Amino acid sequence: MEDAEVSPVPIVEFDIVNYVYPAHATVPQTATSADAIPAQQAALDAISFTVEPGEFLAVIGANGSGKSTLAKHINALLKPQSGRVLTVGLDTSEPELAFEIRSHAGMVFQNPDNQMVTSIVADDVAFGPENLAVPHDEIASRVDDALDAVKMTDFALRNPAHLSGGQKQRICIAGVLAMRPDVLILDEPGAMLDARGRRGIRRIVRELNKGGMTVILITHFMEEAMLAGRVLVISEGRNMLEGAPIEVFAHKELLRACRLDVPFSLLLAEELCARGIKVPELVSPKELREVLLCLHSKA
Amino acid sequence: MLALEGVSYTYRSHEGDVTALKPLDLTIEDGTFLGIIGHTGSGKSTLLQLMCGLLSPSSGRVVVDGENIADKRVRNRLHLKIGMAFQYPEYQLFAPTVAEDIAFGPRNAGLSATEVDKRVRLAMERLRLGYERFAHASPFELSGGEKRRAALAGVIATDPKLLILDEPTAGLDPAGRSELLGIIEEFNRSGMTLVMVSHSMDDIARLANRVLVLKDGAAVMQGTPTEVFGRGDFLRSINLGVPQATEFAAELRAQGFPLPEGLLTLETLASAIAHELESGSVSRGI
Amino acid sequence: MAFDIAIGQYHHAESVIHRLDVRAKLTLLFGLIATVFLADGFIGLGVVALFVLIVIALSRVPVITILKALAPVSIFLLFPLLFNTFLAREGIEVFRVGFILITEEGLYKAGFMTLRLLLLFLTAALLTLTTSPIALCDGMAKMLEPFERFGVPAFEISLMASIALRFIPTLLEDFDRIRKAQQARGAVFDSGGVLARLRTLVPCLVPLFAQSFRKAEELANAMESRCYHGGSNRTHYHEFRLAWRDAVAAGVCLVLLLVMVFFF
Repeated sequence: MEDAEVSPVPIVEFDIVNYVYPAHATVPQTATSADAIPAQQAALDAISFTVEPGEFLAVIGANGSGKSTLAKHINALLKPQSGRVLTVGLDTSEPELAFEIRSHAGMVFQNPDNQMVTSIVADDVAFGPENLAVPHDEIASRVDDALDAVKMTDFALRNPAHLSGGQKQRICIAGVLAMRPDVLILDEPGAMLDARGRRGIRRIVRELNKGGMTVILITHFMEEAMLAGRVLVISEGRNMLEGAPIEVFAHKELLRACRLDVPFSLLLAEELCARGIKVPELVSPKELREVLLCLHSKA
Repeated sequence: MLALEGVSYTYRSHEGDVTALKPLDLTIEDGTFLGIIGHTGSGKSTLLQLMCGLLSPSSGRVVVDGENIADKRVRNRLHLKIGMAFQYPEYQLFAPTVAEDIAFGPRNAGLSATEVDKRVRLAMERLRLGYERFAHASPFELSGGEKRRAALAGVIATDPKLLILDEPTAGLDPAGRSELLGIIEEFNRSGMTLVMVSHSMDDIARLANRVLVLKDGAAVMQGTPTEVFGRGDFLRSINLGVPQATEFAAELRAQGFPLPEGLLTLETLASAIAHELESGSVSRGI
Repeated sequence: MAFDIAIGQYHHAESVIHRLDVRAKLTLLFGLIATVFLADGFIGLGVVALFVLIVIALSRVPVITILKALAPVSIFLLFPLLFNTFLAREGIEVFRVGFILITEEGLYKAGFMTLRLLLLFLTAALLTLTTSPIALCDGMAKMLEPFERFGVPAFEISLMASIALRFIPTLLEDFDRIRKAQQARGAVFDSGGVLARLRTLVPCLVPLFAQSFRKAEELANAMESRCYHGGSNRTHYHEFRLAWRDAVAAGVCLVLLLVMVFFF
């Protein structure tokens, strides 16, 4: 804790990172967006950004925009072909640092079914700490804490096969939290869940961030991106836009060109303006309601 | 026309008998767009599989155009009338080329080679997959959205009059979603009967003209989108939502802004708000 | 409709048998199997049966659950029963109609063989009923550990078994879904000769393999992300500590074995 204050090292730092998938190789196919990027097309094209301790960054982009490739660079699953990625100050291109980097940067993937190694919840959560050679007694307390953080304590001895997708994904988050990472990277955690499951994940991620955890959330759901302190839009492997959610969402045309959505309140504001009602264009749902109530009482 | 008469489904597990679907009566008239909403485990996928004969009901009967599909001869021809796309249908792609994969259904139906080719071309056109570009490509080389459309082309290649879709847009990005929904809307407009499961209330509100709500294997509500989404409190009480526009209208109404019920889309909501503000200023002007 | 193939049909309960160390239980299993084979008369088997009944009582697994666990293998009990009853040609005649001859010797043999098999199945079922699959994997790995110096990758073997247990239901579910999807496109799986049937499976197997490879790749990524680096420098959530009850279990088993060797 004190360390972070003494040395203001960014948790993650991308410096003009380029990455091209090897020819003839398809992109590791993710469950929902099995995108084969034609060989030689840049999957990451001169990406630069930093994430400070405690921040909540949302990376948004369409399928095939390179956002999952970006995520895999953070914990050294992929290495930049040029440029540099530093995670907690460690260079991800050094093979001998990979283990340490991964112990600091925990990653949750989109399909919870393909992340679990055992058929008992608690045992699965223990997998990371076991790999880190955490002493036996401490593993138990870490498992308990992690399950508590995702509100799945009652399910410790259950078989994940009998849980819902949202519950399984929470177990996967617990499995990463039990490693006590400095940053939590979530690669489309809600892509395979229903609305209720996604809501649960959103709540937990927000709580974790409030508790001090640095969060990098990769998504194409705007309601998830709205939670973040900062949003990075990427398209075809390039940074398109960066800023606070509402600033980013103001660029409606750009978002649409990047195959993304515009949040509902902004669309409604647009429709109302088109009907001659003067409302600000950049509003959250709450602000828009207040403006409308105010107009109504004046009318 | 598809009718379910007292259809239920119970299966055995080692924990005893489980009722996945309680007795249900449902009639789907030709040309309908039926939206089905409910949580995982509410019986949605059981219902879909009963409709297309992949599961046999434990009680009751499923009748298609007056014929009970329990009859093996009726069931064997059922895939010509009813198309079924599971969630992530791209997982069923298997042939070396897109065209061959799409031809699987028509070939199973015993159609001639020229007829099969005609069907394949038509299906690709309907799914907006250019024949020149995609017909001879391997399905495994396509992008996620293209794979999804290729798989759906394989489902509609037999030209079914009823198409069943389980979460057709799951996992697609926003642009891919709206593109596919547009295609599905076209199907319905051209006379195809649609049954679609979705957890996006906005998509259901936009496309469906009938809505069925399932909870714990039972139909708890059936009606037009306006009727169903008009009961926001009930839907929320079973952890389901309403379309964003309906939600926004309800909150505005609760804060004292008078708005009519049954606002399901962005456009109708905007118009209603505009109307209210104008009529307010008009009445004051007088 | 989750695919619920109950591998090992683990039945959770708080009992002394459940709490036994897996290694003690495995030793007990092998010991009991040995005693079953050593016993050469009904009295000997009776003693083993009594012991097994005591273990069942201690395990707190409901009898009905045990019977259900035995149901799938009960057909194998039928074979020795019928075989010995009807095919024995020696001994005192009990009953004869036409070519059917039943002798005392035959009945004795049938009863003995059936009881013997029943006891074997019961002990095996008791192990899987009172031990979770994962604990079983861990226990076996632990027993293999001494062989690690000869290059046996004990941890990897247990992890592989655990992952297999975890993914078998998922794969069955995937297969079921693909099969149904192709069926909905008019595929027919249950007609024609062997070759024709195999050919109809292609549209199911190709997607299943593609899906399995993808799953494997995703799992590998997830495991690497969680710092998986093989079996070395790793601690264990489940520590294996032998307790007094394990010693007692082993002792009882040893006594039983000795009794069998010397008295029956």
